[in-house]
Amino acid sequence: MYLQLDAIGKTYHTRGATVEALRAIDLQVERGQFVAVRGPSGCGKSTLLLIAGGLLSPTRGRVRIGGTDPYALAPNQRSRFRAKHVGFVFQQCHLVPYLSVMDNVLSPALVGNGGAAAERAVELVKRFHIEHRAGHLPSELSSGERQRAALARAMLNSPSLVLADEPTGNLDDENRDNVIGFLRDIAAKGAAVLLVTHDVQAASMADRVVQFPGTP
Amino acid sequence: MRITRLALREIRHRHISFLLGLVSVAVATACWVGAEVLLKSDALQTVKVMSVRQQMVEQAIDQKRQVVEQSGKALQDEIRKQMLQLGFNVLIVPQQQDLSRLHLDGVLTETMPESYVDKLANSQIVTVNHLLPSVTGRVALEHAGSNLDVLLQGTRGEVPIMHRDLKKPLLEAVPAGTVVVGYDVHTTLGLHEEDTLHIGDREFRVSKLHPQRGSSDDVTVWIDLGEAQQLLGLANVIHAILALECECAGDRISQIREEISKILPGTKVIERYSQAVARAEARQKAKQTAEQALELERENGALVLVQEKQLRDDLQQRHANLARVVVPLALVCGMIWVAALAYGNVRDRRAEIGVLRAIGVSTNQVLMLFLSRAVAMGMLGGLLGAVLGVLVGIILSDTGVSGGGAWHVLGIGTVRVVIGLALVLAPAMAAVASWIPAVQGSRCDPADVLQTG
Repeated sequence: MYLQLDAIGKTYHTRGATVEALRAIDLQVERGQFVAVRGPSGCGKSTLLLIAGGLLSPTRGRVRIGGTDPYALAPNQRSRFRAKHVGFVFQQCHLVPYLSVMDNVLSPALVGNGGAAAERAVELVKRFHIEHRAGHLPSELSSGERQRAALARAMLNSPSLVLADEPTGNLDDENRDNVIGFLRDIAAKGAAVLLVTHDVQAASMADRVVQFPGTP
Repeated sequence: MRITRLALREIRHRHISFLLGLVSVAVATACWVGAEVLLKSDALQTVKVMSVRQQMVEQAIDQKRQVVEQSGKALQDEIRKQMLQLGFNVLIVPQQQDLSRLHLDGVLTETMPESYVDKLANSQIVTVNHLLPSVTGRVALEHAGSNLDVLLQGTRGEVPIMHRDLKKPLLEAVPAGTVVVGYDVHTTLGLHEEDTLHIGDREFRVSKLHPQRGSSDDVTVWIDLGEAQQLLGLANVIHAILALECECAGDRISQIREEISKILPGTKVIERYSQAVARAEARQKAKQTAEQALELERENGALVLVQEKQLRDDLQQRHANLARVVVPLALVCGMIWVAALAYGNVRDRRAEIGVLRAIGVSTNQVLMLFLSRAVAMGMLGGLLGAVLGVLVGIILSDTGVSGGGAWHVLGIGTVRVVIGLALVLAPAMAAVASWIPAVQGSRCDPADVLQTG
């Protein structure tokens, strides 16, 4: 298994109250596999994704990405590990507002090597059909274009694990299908793809769907 | 993609915030640089003002010295004239001369060789002027039925002292065959100029009649020394050498006696007229007074310089005190403002930082992202502030010159140093002010940011 989550639990302590966001979650995703996690809002899908991506330390359980526990690494090592192996796609896209589409796609190169990144970025904007928008700012793009730009950015370093958090939440059906198609394509090229969504249609396009408790 | 490119794009995107920070850095830097330039130009201005004042004082002292010298010369000339009117005041007579005879009878009895006067004239004597050899004797005169006993004085005129410049003689020589007559003599005998007067068996033409002097001169008749020696039977000898003391300080008569005793042993020196002494003392006193006036002028000049320096120092101190308050205040306010803007920048960029951290950007890179912004703000603001500060400092400093001249007065080296310091210190201060916000930004938890949107 490339991504392996064993008995993951996450508990938040806020204002004297204890909230258990996740309890004993087990999940495995192999390379080349597109897995969707479906559940209602607030069930802990996004928390699971952040834990899987090495951004949020679990209260209990163990995370393995390609056999490595990212939380066993020092913070800066974990950052480098994340940059090299993990690609993120968010519902809000979170593109840097003052960078052009091309510069946003290139932003992961702040960590990696810049020379090969430029060619890879050009290839990606073509692949995600946004080459005509390469010099535009995110504010000048449509929702679908922004999400494709975010996908291109996530793919710059050719990650072996792609984590997508409701990437189709703000998209119409056509754009949703396009984005899911790209994720399938990414998985087909050998990456492990984990999609969390509450959208039935989007989840149905995955290789495997994991239902969170409380899912209708 | 490099951090610098990201930073530059961000600055362009949030240029208003960046410009506000830049202006605050520029204002703070301008305050500091302006104060430095002002203080520097104060010091230069002090040097310049003191130089001018020094020249003025020296000119005033020089003018005073000229006035004193001119007054001194005028005084000397006046005294000389007065002394001339008083006549000789030093009498050199043989050692054995009984002075009571001189006082009782008005005549001298002892003689000395006439060559003594030449010996004295050829010596290096410095304490007396105007040597006049003479013989005297009492003779009875008769003219137009009137008789009178008079003092006959024979003189050959002044003998020049050889090592000195020739001075105008106090007395002209009486030409042979002529006679100069005192007041009582010509009034008693009814003499007029060009009259013929018989003395002994010889005839003399009256060449000059003296006005009343109130002294023994009124009963004196002057003739040529050689003729007097013949009439009195005193060939090649003289009774006395009359002289005028020079301008000597201290115990004058002792100095004269000491000098003459070395040249003419067997003689003695008598001081004749106390009035002359008083005049000489007055002359010394006048000279001292003039010198005191000159010294007073010097002291006043020094006082003016000290007062001017004190005024300049006070002005510099006031400027320095003002700078000690304004400059730190401006720097602290500038830093607070830069820090506030940095906090705002971090807050605005939380989502961006969260995403950058998620895709693997390290905390140090995020920190560099914020600090590079602060350093750029500091460098540009520092440069702008330094130039403004130099200009404002020059305008306020009143160096007395303008434009390029002011740069010349301050020195291009000073300007370079000030601008150089500003370009180092302003970025450093902006970085310090932004440090805490930048650290907070770099430690932003990406999970927290992404979860809260």
